[in-house]
Amino acid sequence: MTVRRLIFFAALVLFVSLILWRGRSAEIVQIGVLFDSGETSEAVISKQALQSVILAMEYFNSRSSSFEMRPVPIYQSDPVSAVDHAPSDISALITGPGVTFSANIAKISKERGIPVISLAAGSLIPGKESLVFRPRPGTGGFVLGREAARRGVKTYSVIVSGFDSGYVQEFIRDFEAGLGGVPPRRTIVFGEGLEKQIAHFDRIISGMDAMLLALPDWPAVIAFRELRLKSPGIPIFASNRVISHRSLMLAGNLGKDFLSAAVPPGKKFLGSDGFYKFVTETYGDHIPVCILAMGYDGAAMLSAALEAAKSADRASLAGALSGLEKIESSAGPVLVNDRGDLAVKSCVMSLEAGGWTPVKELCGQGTGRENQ
Amino acid sequence: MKRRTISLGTFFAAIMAFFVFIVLIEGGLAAYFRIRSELKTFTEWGETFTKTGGYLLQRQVRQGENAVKSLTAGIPHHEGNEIVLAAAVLDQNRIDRVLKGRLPEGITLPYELIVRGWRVNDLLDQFGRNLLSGVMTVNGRQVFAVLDLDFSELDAIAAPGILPVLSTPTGAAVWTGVSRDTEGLASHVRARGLVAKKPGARGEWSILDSHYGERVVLSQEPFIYGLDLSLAYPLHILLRQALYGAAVSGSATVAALLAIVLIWFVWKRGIYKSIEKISRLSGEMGALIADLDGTDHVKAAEATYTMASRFSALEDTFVAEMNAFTRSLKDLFQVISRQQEELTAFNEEMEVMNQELENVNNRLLTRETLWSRTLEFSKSFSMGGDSRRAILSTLHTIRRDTGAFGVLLASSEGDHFRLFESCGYNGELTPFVIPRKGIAATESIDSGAPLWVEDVRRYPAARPVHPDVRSQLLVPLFQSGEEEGVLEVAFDSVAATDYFLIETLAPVASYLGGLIHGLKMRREIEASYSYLAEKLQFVTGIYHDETENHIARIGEYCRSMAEELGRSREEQEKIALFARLHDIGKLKIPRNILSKPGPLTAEEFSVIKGHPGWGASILGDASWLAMARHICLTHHEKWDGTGYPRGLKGDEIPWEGQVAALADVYDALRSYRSYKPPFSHERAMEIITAGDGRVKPTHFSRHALAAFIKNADTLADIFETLKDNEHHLL
Repeated sequence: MTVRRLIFFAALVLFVSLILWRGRSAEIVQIGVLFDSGETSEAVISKQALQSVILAMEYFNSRSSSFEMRPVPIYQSDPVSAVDHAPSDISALITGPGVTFSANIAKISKERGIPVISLAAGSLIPGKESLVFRPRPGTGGFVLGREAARRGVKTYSVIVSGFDSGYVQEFIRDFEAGLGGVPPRRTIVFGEGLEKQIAHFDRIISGMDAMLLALPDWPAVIAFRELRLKSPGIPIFASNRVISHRSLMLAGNLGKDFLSAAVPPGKKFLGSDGFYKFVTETYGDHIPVCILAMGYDGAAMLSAALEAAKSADRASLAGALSGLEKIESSAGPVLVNDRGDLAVKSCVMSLEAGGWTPVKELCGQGTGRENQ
Repeated sequence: MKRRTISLGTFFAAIMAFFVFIVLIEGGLAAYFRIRSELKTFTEWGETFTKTGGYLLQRQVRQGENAVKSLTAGIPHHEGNEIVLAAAVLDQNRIDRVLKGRLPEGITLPYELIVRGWRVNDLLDQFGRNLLSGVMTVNGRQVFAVLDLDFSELDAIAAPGILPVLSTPTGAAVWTGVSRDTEGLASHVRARGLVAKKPGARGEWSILDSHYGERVVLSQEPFIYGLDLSLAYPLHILLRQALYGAAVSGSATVAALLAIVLIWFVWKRGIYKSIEKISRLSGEMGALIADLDGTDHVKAAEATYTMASRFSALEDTFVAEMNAFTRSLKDLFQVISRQQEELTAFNEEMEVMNQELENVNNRLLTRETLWSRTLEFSKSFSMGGDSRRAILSTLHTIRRDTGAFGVLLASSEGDHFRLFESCGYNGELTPFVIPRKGIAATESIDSGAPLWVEDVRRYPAARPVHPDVRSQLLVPLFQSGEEEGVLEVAFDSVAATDYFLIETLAPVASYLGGLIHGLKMRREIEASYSYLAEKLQFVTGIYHDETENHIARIGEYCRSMAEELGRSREEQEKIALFARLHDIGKLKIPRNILSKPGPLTAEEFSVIKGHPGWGASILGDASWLAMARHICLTHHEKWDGTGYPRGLKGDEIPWEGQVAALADVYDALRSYRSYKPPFSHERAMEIITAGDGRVKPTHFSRHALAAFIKNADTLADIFETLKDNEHHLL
């Protein structure tokens, strides 16, 4: 074989390889990310959770050659409009932690045949029969209730942002269950006229063993600061909506016995090749790790389903999501339950100098109810 | 000095490489300067944006500040009041009095928020948007205010395709611009809400993976109010523009390169390809010719045909002149091929002729050889050679030169043929006599011409003497018009009639016929001489006192001893015949001397000693009577040289003389003589082997004496069988 022929065949092989390589390039999968533009009470949490999903998609894209998940942001305040405005070629939708919004989306997801990854928690959200799949089905209230019970809490009052959010009701109910069915002694809504309501904190906290906050991050921290100033030793339990990047800044150095619940990530997630390092090295450590983990698990469910379905087709993807039995989540290998949700376990988190930190001895004590 | 050469292909390659190099350099430089220019444009736009955008935001902030001052002064309505989201008078870091917004009085603000000046921080509005907060002094009081800037004013600043993003120090995007080239990227950044941290120094351009699925060039530099301005642009668009610029600037060079490529293409595909093929074919042709043997015209024709075919297979190109040149070559080779074919045909004819000539020549040589040998045999025979050996040698020569399976010579004897001599036939031929009636040999003799039986199986009269014989040539042998026999040349495969061979064998057959005739004649003469010898024996017996039986015994003694000495049967027969004539010379001795009873005088004895010579004279010079002459001349010679007439000694005496001398002495001792009585066999043996003074053992040949002793009993029997009627026993 002459040198000329050798070069020709080498060029041909290179060309064919390029063709094949192009042919095997990742298939782009359009994923609708629904931002609830009407969300006001939990806007920060919702926004950061959905940001985490997008970051996780980038992370998975950088490591998988089969699919490239491409987020398609949809800004709508009405669920039906959100679905209507979703591009026709999207393969799935991801909705934020807003329970109402997610629940309403789920009502129409099945009839449209669009699988939905919902970051919302609680029993109001339907399961995989409605093509809804969740990485964080639990509110965390039960774990906190158990911790309150362990601490001997008999009486407590609740401060909430409002009862329009299904999450608040579910969280409090879970807390009651964890505490052995003890209902809150008093409940106030922390909304308009904060100074007036803060003025009532003395009355609310009086005679209580603990306080329970079901508030978004900054009202929760403000409430915490005021409560702490009025009763320095009282344990204050808060829903996981309190966990944000500015908790520490707003809470200052009064953060002792300020407890919440979340699903902490595992070592691999935090390791040198993990998602957390990917985010912090690329974008910084703005978003709390627990929220990053929630977004990561949502994207992980999608990624696992895409790998199983080997197709971006909605029906195939929905079938694959329904057939998931186990995925490699932020906390390690986790089973998928009958509802199509991840069977993750919450931990009690404490606000420390470094931010929200899991209390080791209080991890993995969730019950089946917690996982629902 | 050897002149350096360069091929046109190499020249074109060098020119193209040079132009490619120029294009690459020119294109690279153009692309580089284009990219630099683009990035410089972006940077300048960023500076403009910083100034313009900063001005727009500062204007809002000034409005906000004025509104805060108005609020502090208790004037609730003021232009820009809507910008102020919240404001409160501070007491230390504690909210002392709320001027506007949902700030609870009495709460303590984090120290991070209580800073002088304005900064966008993690304070967010109800929709999660970052707010501008700061502390300003109004009438000596510290006023904390939160402004909700309208970043949409920045949208009016048209971006040249680049994506501008304003972000907090934590990377949270607070405003994302819009541009035609970065719509997808902008949407993604807006949804992600974060701007990647750019590696490298601020203000410098870096290449970064945007995680949107493409690479971008990114520059980040400080903006106002703690914000950072990020400028992002898709790398592939930048490179495309750079390549476009490079292509435009290098278009002339590229055009020149294309022209060269076109010329090269024409040269390569239209001319060089054909020249290369012609050159290669010429090389192959040279190699073929070099390998050719100059005399091998067939190979030469094949080579020429092959090359002509390959030249004919040369494909036309799109260059007409080249095609004309190629066609000329094709025509030329076709002419050469045709000429070569004719030359080859001519050569083949010549070779056939040469082959025929060579064959004829070879056959003539064969004929010459055969005739030459036959002539040699003839000469040898004429010089006294053995005619039977001459015949046998001639048969061998015929067989060898003709490649025959066997050759035989049969003599005509009345109504039979008798095998005379043969050679070949695998050595399996035995003497035979066959009737001559109705066989092919007789046909050839009757016709007087050679008969070629090509296939004996199809010729009923053929009588092959060996089962392997398939063809036979029968040549009749005549001498002086009389038939002598037939010569058979037999082949073990079917052979076509070969007239040349027949013609060749004709003189040989004549020679063989002469030999056969001579042998027949000799046998007749020998028979005559035998008859003569018998008659002479009778006459000799009458003439002197030696009886007929004595002469007969001498012959038998000699035959017996010749056999013992290993002589041939012919020699045995000849000595038995010619020994009888040993004393034929005595016919010239006067009878009174021969029959004298008393001792002979010296003179008488000298007469007696003359009888061997006289005997030889009587026999004459005939070669076939040589043995008889030898016996006559030497039968009185003695081994020790004491005999007569010539006193020969040892092997000077021919063997037949040695034998005859011993036989004569033995018979003389056993017979009566006038000077002695007859002795017994034992006495005679004693005298011969031990001597008696007159007869000594040294008189006889050692070999003859040994044969005599060994055959003593036979000699005695011969004596008793042929004993004379008168016995004079001692």
